[in-house]
Amino acid sequence: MAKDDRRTMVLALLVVVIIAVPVVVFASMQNDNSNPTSSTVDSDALGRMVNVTSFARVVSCAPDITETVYAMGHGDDLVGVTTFCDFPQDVLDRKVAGTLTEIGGYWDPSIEQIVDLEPNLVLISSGVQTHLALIDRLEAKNISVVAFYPGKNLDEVFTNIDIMGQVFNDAKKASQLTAEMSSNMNKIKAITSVHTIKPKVLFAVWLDPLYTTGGATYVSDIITGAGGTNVFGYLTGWPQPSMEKVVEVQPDYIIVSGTMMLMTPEQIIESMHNDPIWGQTPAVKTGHVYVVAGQAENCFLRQGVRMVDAMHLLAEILFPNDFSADVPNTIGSEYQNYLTPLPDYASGGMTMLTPMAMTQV
Amino acid sequence: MPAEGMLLRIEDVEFSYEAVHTLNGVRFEARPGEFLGLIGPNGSGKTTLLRCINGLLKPQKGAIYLEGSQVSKMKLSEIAKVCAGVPTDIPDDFNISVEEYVYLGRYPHVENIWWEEREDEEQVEHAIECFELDPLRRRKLFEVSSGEKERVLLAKAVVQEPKVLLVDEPSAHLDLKFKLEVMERLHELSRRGITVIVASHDINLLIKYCDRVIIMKNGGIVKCGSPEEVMTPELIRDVYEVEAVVVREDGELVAVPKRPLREGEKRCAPGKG
Amino acid sequence: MGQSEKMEGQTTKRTKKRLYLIMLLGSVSLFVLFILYLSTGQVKLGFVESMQALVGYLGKLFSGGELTTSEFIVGEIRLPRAIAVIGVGIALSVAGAIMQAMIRNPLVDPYITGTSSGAAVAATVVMVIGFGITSSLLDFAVPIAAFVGAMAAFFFTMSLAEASGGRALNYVLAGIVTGTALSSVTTLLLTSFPTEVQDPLFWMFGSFNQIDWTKALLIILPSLVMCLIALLYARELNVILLGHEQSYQLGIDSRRLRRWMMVLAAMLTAVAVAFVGIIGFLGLIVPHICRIMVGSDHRLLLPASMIIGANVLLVADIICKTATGGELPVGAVIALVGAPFFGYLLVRKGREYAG
Repeated sequence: MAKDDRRTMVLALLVVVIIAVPVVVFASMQNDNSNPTSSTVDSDALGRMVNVTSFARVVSCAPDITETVYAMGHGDDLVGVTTFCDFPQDVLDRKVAGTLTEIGGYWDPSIEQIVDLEPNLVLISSGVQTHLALIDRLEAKNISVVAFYPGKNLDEVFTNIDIMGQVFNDAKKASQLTAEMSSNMNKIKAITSVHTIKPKVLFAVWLDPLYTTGGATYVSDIITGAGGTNVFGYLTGWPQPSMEKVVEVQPDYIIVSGTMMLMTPEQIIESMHNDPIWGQTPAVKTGHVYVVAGQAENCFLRQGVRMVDAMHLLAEILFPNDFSADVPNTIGSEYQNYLTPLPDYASGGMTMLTPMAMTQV
Repeated sequence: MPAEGMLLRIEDVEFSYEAVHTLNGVRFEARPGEFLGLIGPNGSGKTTLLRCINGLLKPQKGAIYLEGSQVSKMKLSEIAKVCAGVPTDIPDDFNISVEEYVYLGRYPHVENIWWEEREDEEQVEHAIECFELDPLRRRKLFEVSSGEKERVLLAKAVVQEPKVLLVDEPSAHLDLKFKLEVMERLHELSRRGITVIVASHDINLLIKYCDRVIIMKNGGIVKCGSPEEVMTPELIRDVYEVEAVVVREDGELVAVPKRPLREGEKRCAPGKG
Repeated sequence: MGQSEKMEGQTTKRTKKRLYLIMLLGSVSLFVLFILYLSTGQVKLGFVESMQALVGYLGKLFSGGELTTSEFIVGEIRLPRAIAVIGVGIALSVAGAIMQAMIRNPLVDPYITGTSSGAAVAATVVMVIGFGITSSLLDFAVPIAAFVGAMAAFFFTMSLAEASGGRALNYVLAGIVTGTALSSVTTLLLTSFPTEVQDPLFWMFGSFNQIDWTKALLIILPSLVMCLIALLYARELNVILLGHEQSYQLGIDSRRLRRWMMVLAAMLTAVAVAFVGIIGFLGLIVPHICRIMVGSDHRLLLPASMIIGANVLLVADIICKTATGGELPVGAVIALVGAPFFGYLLVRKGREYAG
């Protein structure tokens, strides 16, 4: 090629790209969904309307979603879950038996493994980038995708249950579930509201450095719902306050989430006793440090249907006399043993335990 | 309009580097095949003048004509076909072979984007032969000695098929033998019709070979003429502020510096614009 | 004297032969790796089954028809991913080669003008602060932001560099200024939103697991075109290594050419980074490996960088995909694979290789 032709060539190439790019983008936006529908979701967490062709063979990409599916009674429809999904027990049993496949972790679902299961429906979280990236490819294979809210607060959790009701065409069950949860929350509130002074609670997600919850988070809502005050409620998000602040706020109760830490729950409590700052807090001095691990921890940190259990547990910790409960300082997956039945003041009798406690084997 | 036969014409060129007046009313002409020497003290504007001729610098006033066309109006690629420059040295970290380096000189003439054509190869081979670079072909540039490097630089300039060759301080780091060799080759090139302009501090070397010598001071041309006309003790004293004698030895003209002038002896040099 | 006649035409022939040789070997290797790529992944499909699936997929592209699971996996997941890998491989390698020619420094990689920091900050902002965009554009929000961020950072660096002299060193320093400033913004964002940290971090490690056909095409088409454009200027890249004055008198305004070439390199980098995150080391190591193998002549170096870059990235991503558990970050794997190989080459041929 001669030098003079070069400029023409460059321009030609650029024209090709400038035309091709919008064509590709446009072509990708064409959707074709002409399949029989079992259920319709009017608006999922991304505002999409989704026609679900069938809800047999479902993949869940988040542990809280898995729990919600089970709560709706459709646990048997699941064929794929994440490595972190571990509740209820049926999930673990089925993984061992090989009837439930792990499709990746929470942050990195494997599209290949999802597709390999030949699901009809995949449930994702709208807050995870890698989940969103799955939508196009799954829909290209005529797999319905429904997105759920990440659960920043209790409202989102209730909305998720609503959406789940639309997914399984069982709005009745969904509203039953939410009604029960609300009712239990109200009962807890009724019991604890007699106390005008709310105990100060510090919830530590991590201890070194201290990671705690500010106000307006899911965990903060649990604390408030249990009748306590979040000592760091004036902050937002998940802050890392300095130890001086701990001295300043003087928590009466400290809840530590202990699964990820290297020490055993007992060691954690002991180290806090020996720590110069932690040791000075009212919580440590009065022996009100509680370490939640295993499934107990999941109640607090997994934004899903078991949050009422978390609220219940925390309320029992804060006001043991009101609940006739005796919760030990270290609580693991046997936490449900400590949940006493909630009295039903209106009817004067006892009401059922919370739904999730029922499904435990 | 250029006069007949004039290859290079410089008319009243003025150039300033950020308010520092480097060139002032420079004018001269050169014929094809002339060997011109450019001398003058540091800062007299020799290098600046060379840079103006090949278009690297644009004079604020005046014009330079190459083969009748004004340099400031010519495209870079056109200037490159007519005018070539030989640098003082090649950077040491350059990792290509001698052969590849000489090929770079063909750039202004290569038509094809990628591969060289027969004509380009012929030119390069001819130059390699001329400058005895055959045994050094594959050597990397940093493996080549100073004397050999000089030949390489000249070969690259020659394949550019220039009509005007601008050489800046060719012999600065060369020993006696190579100094003479370089000048011999440049002289030969001028005999072949190329106008060669050499700027150098080595006065005696230039006056030995050049047809004409231009002596500059403070951005202006003090005198332009044959070596005999230019090499006078008076001029040397005015321009270089050095007391010198000029002798003729064995047919050769030689300037012998004696001592630098003291403060009181200096006076303004003529020829300032 | 007669010797020179025999040598006529030899130089070009020799260069041509070397080019064809490396392209041939590289292409064969690329083909093999491509097939290997299609046969590996988190779902175990045998080689034969993968090939059958590929053929089936291609057939159904034209005839239309329901894809089997294997065909879907090979054709809709692995095939576009392979193409994207090749696209990113050629883009980053050529961008790296260009930047090394522009800055004349062997430590230079395509991110030196701040493109990676710009992309990271923009992507982090989108991922952390939220979308608020309709879902069909959602998937594009991050790549668009990253591309814009990368180019914006580059143009900022360029204006800073040109304003301070426009020389190679100015670009390096301006790039450092832009890069560090933007990186600290990213860090601030991440510490302010610790719960949202995972998405941006994963993105920054670089990964091909979100590639679909649209993204693959949007990577490969611009990359190929821009690499072709770079190839058209291969000889000019050779000449400007002589420095500004020398290339000027050979007829090239090296400052102007450098600006355009840098824009090209920045665009190649931005396209790669936008869709797959920040893949380090490739743009740095591959041109050097190629220089050791074929020399500094850009007519050999650029095509070689393309083919070697594609090969290296395919190998790295195959390792990433098939590693235990989840996926590894590609950049780290490249460093593990590329650095020792580079070290070996350096020891073997380092003496000849001075720059």
